[in-house]
Amino acid sequence: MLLLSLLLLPCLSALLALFCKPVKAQPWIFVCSGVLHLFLSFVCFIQMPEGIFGLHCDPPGCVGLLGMSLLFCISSIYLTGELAHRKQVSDRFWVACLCGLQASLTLVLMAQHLGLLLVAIEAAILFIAPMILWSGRPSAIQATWRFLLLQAFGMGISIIGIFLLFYAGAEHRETLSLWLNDLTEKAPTLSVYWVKAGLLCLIVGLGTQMGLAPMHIWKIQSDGEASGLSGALFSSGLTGAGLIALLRVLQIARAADLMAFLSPILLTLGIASMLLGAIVTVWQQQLKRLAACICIGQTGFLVLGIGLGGYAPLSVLLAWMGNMFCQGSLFLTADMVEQAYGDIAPEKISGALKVVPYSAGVLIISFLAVSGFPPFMLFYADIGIAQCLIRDGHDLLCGLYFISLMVTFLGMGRVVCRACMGPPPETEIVLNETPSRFFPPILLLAWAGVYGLVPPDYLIKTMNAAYQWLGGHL
Amino acid sequence: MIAQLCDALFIALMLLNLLMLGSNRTLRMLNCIRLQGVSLALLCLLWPGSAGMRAILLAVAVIALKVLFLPHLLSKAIRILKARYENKPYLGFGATMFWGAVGTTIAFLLSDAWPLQDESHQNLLLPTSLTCFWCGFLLMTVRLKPASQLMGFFVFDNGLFLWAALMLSDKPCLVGYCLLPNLFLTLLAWGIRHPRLQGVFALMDPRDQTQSKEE
Repeated sequence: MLLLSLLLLPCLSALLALFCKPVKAQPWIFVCSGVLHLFLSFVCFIQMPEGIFGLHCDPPGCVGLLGMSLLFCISSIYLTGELAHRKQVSDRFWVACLCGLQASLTLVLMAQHLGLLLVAIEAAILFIAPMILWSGRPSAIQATWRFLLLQAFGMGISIIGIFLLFYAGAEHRETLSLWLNDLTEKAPTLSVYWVKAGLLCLIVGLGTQMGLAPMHIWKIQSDGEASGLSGALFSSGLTGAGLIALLRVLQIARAADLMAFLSPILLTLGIASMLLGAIVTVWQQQLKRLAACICIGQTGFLVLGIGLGGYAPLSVLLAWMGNMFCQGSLFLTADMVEQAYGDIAPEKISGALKVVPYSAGVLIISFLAVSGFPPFMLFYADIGIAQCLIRDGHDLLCGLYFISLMVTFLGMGRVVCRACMGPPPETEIVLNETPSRFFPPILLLAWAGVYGLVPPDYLIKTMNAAYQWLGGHL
Repeated sequence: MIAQLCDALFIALMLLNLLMLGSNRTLRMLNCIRLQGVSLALLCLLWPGSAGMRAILLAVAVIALKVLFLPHLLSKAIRILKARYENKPYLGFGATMFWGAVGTTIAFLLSDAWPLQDESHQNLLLPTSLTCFWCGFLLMTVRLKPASQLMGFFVFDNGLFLWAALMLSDKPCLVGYCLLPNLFLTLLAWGIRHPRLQGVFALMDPRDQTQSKEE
């Protein structure tokens, strides 16, 4: 019942937002939905309820659910300030899309059926598209087109992967289903050739949806065109959805004893994504697009960790949750700073510490948090992956890993320092910062700091359970 | 006799793919898409493993979706945008056809090498399906006009349908998953012809944008 409530709550909120007429009530629907969803997620996190109707929250799903609920709940406060500023926007549809996105991501985290998983990811994609399109600028329309076309391609490849997996089970054709536990159980008896082909297709398809290099080309444009709030939610949301789907698919590979075959592929894709994400930060001038570049690198980091095995999946779980908070904060503050400067070209933004001091301050801390500075969660994740790389003797990978972290730090630091320091331009500032705009990013960073520095017992317990679920031994 | 007819339809599908790769006329490409839809519907009816009523329903659904509805949306979009010609793709038409032919050859080699689970599949089904994936991918990546890119995805989706409807014909529910990409197709085709978005799609060729700025 708890799982159904978690799913139905955002659906009902979306309907309420569509049919509720008072304009001022719109953001508060999202806030109430976010708070209630967070409460239910906490209960689910502690209790780990039994599955119902094929929905089951496994330990990694629980970790994702808590992180996602916290992100949505805190970001909903930002929405109240955002909508007060953007009066021309039709709140109703936007709020409904945000609630719909929350519902579909919740379904992704709970779905134990490969087909349902893809349907939920498709629903999330369809809710995200209007958010990219929102500004109505030609560049936004082009970004939406590219996003949808590439996501459709990714979805097609994922479906091929499912068909191949199904085709691999000719002997079980009558009884084989797409339930993950069924596939995992029968994986050792499936045809190895077709399972390998199916898993490769699923990695490529889900990688496209996560924004993994070289299928990342939609990400920078889409995240740059969406509003900061949408960017924060869907960037973390879609990456998380792809990641949990990938983790579940890899359970089949683990059961079929194919991790040795997949590990080099995952390591290559992961490090390529990290390097590419680092390289594009060097040329990027716009703050929100820069956050998207960081996101590509972080996606690579997650996949690298999965490919490494050993203790690395524990770091992946930490990084997944840390990314939701730190990148969420980065997107929100970057949006706030860019909005404050109105139509000024991104490369001419400077002196933000004098213009919007709180937001600029939080932007600098977010930058440090995303770069892996202590005490935030990403610091521990970065250290964990580095330890695994050194211990397993991946010297070349380790070198490339540190180079990509350093280049990302320098590339991003250059733009953030230019935007925050120096004299402000002599133009009128179009937006004054309000607590509803700078408080949510502070809260997100605080959460990332507290969970990193003094992780509560319930988090450690669930992280350990998720690690064991992923095949790790404590 | 039926097996030979099926093989002829598979060859027709592959030739239509190559014809699309070498064509710069979008309406001609659309006609190829329609013909591919008809071939798919016939294959649904003629395929040895397919049963009576289910095969008829599937063929009717294919005709409705892949021959009538989606091509109609696309042809309207092409007429509205006046995008009848694809003049300057990223890769020339000859080169695209060459890579299409290379892909087709590799598809045949791959399907020879892979151990098929069912002996009834020892024919042109797998190479045709792989060729559709490859040619669809090529069209999506080397063409600049949104309508052409969308037709590329159409071809890709045809490959997916072939797989679901024929190779896994004993699990009819799998065909339902082919509807997921079709939902994207409908949305994208609708997006092209939406009055607010037309101006932008007309300018989606980056070279056109450069020209308009220069003007």
